[in-house]
Amino acid sequence: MLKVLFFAQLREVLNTDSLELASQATVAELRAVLMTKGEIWKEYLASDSCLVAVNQTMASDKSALKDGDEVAFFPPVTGG
Amino acid sequence: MVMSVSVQSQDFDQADEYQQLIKDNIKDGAVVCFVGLVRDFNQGSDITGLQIEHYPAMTTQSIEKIVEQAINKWPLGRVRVVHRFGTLALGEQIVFVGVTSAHRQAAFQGAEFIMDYLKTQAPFWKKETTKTGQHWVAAKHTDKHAADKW
Repeated sequence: MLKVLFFAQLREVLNTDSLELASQATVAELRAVLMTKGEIWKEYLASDSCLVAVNQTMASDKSALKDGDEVAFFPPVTGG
Repeated sequence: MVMSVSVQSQDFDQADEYQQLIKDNIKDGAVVCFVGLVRDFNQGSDITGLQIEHYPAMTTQSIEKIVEQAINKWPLGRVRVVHRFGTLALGEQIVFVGVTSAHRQAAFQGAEFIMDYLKTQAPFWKKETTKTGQHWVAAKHTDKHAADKW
């Protein structure tokens, strides 16, 4: 299983802060599975501005996943 | 090199932070401190307050990685970063970056680098409250450009 987290605007528009999903080989494959959950998921997860971290480290679509990983999706950061 | 990072909801005292940077530190002749505050005007509307969300499991380690990059670029003595989250009112302190070095150039540049990277790499998100509602702050290209220059 993968633990999938959503933050900020993404958490609000998807009305989801976390969920568990069957393991996928890569971030791109996980993203494709999530995009089947509805139009709003497709729109926001397809965006270039949707960033991803795997096990709390910034990652990309090519990043490999393994069972038990924590994957977080979020918009560009605005701290500081 | 001494590095200390805190991510917290409570306020900080710049005077205390400064004292920690200079206490028993006789080799560094330069200290640069930056404090970021909640201001009343941003991206076209009057702000009445701010909420900052973060990714607790990732935030501290992402800031530590930024500080490590700064240490690899400049001869820094001590680095202290405090970043707040939660609900903040106008004029409240958001972030503190304090850097010491033997000479001022490294201290100025190290502090600026850490702030530029904090704004584009650390997982914080600001939501502004205005008289007509709330909105998420959009990331600014100028912040991206500022980080890219290093």
